[in-house]
Amino acid sequence: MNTTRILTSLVFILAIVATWAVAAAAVPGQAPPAIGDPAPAFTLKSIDGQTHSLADDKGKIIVLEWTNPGCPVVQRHYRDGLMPAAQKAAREKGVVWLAVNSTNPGHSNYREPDALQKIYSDWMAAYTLQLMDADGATGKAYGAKTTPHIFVIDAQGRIAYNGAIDNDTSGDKADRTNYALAAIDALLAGKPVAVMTTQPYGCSVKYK
Amino acid sequence: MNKLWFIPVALLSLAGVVACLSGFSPTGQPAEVRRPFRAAGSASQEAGSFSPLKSVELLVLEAHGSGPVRMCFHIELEPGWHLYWKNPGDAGLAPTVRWTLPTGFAAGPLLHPVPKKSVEEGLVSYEHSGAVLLLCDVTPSPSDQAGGKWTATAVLGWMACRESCIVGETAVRVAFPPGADPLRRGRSLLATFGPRFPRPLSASGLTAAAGRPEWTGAAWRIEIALTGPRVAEAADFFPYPLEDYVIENAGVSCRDGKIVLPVVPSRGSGSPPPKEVGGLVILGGAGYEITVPVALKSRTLFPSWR
Repeated sequence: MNTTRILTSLVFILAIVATWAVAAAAVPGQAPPAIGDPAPAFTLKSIDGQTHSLADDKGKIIVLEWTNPGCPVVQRHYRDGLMPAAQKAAREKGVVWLAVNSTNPGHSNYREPDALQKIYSDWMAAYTLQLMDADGATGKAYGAKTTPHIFVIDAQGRIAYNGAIDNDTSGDKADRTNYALAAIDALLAGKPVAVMTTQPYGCSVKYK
Repeated sequence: MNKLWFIPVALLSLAGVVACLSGFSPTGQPAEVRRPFRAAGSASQEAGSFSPLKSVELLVLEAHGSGPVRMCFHIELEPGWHLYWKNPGDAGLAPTVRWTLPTGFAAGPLLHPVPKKSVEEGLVSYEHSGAVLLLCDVTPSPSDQAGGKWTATAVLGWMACRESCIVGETAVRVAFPPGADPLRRGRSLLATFGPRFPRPLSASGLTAAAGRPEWTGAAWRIEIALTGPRVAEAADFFPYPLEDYVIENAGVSCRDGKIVLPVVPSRGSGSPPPKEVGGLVILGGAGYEITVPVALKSRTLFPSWR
């Protein structure tokens, strides 16, 4: 009888834990998080072979930058030095900057990790890691639409900013606002993020 | 032993979890046409001389001798490529123009034909393909005499996509007054492309009420009621871009005489709804333009999480 009870309890607990895990994990098809919602969990491989989870950076401000080197808007941001400068400025403030590549391997823009390392190294990228999300599950869980598309996660693990990297869609503004850096500065100062959501611009994420 | 009923219940829970997972998995979508990778275009073109814009010309359409001069960009795209509407949707960039005009002249915004809506992987885009006419009104300086001779130069900035995207710029020039042949050509283009441009909503026999906003916890859900004999034919709504709000394009709909437009305020949940919204009601393949005020009910309350 005791064995039966233990077995029954174990199966029941397993079912509850599994249900909780499904709710907590990045589930494609689920509505993307709104501002203030918990950032969906993920575990992805970086282009230099590390396995990295969102939980590894618990307690830190995190920037997620969706990227694709085949997108001319991404190319402009890197070649003009805007993205590397933002990455460097953020990391100097203790922020973790994760570039995420959700390009489907069947797409002509897809590049293997070695090729990505060379491209982004030539572009002087200063992100913490670039993560491969080839099945697009993490991109879809966040609702990433474009490259680039930026999410800033606060130290409590909540979405604090979702949108464009800046307000300069054509790349010719002398006085542009970098929304990611503005959000980071507000979070570090303990102030509300003024602009929380903007329309991201660029190429569509190549999920298919 | 009678407590063994827990086992099937737990197993059913696990089965439910598996079913949920399979239901949420990404399903197969129509395959996209595979094309070679191309880098940035035109001004920063690296992929050789290929341009998805086969031709671009700037023409004068109407030369009345006074008031604004209507011009057009006539663009022919390579097969499979598209440009974007004034609201590109979830991705893409709308065309832009940098004008060089005589002192005191002013150019208005680009006027777009009704786009086609495309939905892929849940991402909505509003596109122009094939041959496209974009209109623009140039207002001469009041000090310029009607019929004066002048030249306009325009640099058209564009993003064109097929499987991948190219951005570029194309410079075009036009002289005023136009010669007889260019004017005839412009008028012929207008006769062909004119029906593709939006018409006022009144031309459809419909009327639109003021937008009614409701706070859903993360976005303003604006409802616009349509009335009129053809209301059942109103099949979609293409929203105009909104400054300081992000349109949830996948949630936009028009059915049963009701437009639903969800918008997320850039400055968070303490923000009021937009004062006015606009866009095209799609009916019988044509687009009918509306701009309506958004009337906040006096007792509407909405939370601020900040």
